[in-house]
Amino acid sequence: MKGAPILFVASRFFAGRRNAAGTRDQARKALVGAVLSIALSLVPLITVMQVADGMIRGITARYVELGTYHAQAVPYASADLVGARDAARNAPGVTGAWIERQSVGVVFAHGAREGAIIRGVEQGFVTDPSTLEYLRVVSGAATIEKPYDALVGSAMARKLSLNAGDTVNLITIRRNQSGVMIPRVSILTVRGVVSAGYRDLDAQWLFMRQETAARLLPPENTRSFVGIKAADPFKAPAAARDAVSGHLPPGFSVYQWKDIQRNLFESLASTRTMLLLIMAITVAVAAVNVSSALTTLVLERGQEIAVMKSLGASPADLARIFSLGGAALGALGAVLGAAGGLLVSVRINQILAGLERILNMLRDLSARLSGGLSPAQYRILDPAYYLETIPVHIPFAEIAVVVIAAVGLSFVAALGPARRAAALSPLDGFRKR
Amino acid sequence: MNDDVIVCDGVRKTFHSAAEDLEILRGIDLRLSSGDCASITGPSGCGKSTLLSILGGLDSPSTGRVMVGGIELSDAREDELSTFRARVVGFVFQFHYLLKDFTALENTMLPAFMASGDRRDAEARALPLLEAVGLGDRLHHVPSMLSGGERQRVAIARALINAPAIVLADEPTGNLDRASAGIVEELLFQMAATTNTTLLVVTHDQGMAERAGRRFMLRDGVLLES
Repeated sequence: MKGAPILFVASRFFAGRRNAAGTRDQARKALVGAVLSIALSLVPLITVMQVADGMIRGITARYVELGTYHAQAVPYASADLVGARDAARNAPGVTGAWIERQSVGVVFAHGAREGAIIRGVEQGFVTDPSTLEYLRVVSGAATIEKPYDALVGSAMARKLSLNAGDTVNLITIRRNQSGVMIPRVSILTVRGVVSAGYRDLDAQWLFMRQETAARLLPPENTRSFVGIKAADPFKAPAAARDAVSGHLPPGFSVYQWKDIQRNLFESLASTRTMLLLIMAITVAVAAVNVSSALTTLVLERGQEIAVMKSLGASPADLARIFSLGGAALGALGAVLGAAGGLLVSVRINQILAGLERILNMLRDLSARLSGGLSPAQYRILDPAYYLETIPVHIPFAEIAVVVIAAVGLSFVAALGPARRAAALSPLDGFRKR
Repeated sequence: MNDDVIVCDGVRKTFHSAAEDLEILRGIDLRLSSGDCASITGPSGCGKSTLLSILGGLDSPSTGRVMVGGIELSDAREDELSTFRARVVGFVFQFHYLLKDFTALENTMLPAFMASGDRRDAEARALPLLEAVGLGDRLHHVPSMLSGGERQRVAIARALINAPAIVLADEPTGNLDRASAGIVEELLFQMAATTNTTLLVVTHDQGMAERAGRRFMLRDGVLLES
């Protein structure tokens, strides 16, 4: 049988007409159920894909632009950082290079204290557009022009009740020549409170000038390096490293951002993979629904299959009708699911905010009815662990792969019922009357 | 010149079950020529429909040789049988067996559409047939909107659309009231005669059986011509 009659018969078998009572038969209901199950399984899959991608990309971008830089040139010993920085800046493709000195300390303010990662950076880094894209100034200004100026992360500022203009005590530990640890207190002025939108980072960072850091921070506990930025770090992760290769003075090793926080990035990627695998199981289960719906159709349409055979349809024709029908069901479900998933993905922040409002209203109501105190506001995605808003990044290529995979799975799931239809003896089919 | 379109030599059919083996056809010999009109009568369960199924390539004999329309059915492959059913024979069953989601026109044109892939041509061939069976005003009615007699008339049109050499009719009026049965019988014989199609009718209706030029009776698994 040629393609046109196969499509014609398949369309009638699968879409059909309503019966005299205006309802559809059992098999058709099962087919509609199968399409919906494919669609419903794809909505969470695509949403998780988008949310995970958006989160990972958002978190990674913050780490890369604010923390690791695109690459770091790390000296073996006391190498010439300024020379390396200047050489990196002159390397083709490099968009910025700055000296940074990192250590740890304790920050005291208003009777509270907090451990902090002290980041001695250059003003140019703080005001670089790629930095400011992810570093929001909550109060004050992003400036560390004077020697004892500091910027603190918003979460740390909240814990220590800090605002722009306040002073903080920074305690660092230095070891003297006889090995005794000596605390050193420095007073810094908070010029600005900044936020990366990711509490993990906002809770631990205190920025100060790198020259001041060189004086205040214990050299034995301080990591100094040149941070380098180049073109899009996601499209070309090694671009910054490759750009400075051969341009730096001797005594430096250059690491790309993926290597610097390898564990974190691999952990994020494997979490995403695991989530997608779990979600993929639901798609596989939905494909089983396609198989069972088609089996119902084959059983219900046994007599008509027999008629088709008596009219000259071959077993291969029948197999094609049902396998293509299964793929069509998968395609319809996948398109509906992809559309639903995209809609949810694009509106995910509003949906979560709405859900949070409803949940908190219910909690408040419950607290009022029970006469208790209203509990703390509930957050679905606690910004202590996630970004405050989920970046919307639609992975179109991956969605296309998911849609194709759903169609393929449905096609495979349809093969069993298709073979059953093909193998049905015409006489057995006629006896089904 | 031998123009036999149906040739059966020593056809036997045995149904096997756990309890017993039931031999329902015990050496059928039959020859029908092009344009023959034949009937087979016999008591219920004697194997008339089984013989018709074998001749239509829907079933196979246990032993014996069956050649229909020049095609050896006894050892034909499944795809050869499909082609045979599409091009050589047309079936009219006791129950109309129309596809319920298809209109009268679609049901009728389907065998031609399946064979050629040309829907327009298939419809063009179906229209005069439906006119001929008196259903020109019922083209777009689905089976549930047609009476029993009308459905059977659509089935006759469907059986004839590919201009088969042979039409096999299994109790074509068995489910119809007297008036409808008369119309269907008339149509069947008239159209077979007009198109010089070999017609083999299995029936309990003696009147219909006697209308056939050649009359057979199947009794105890043996076919006797009267």
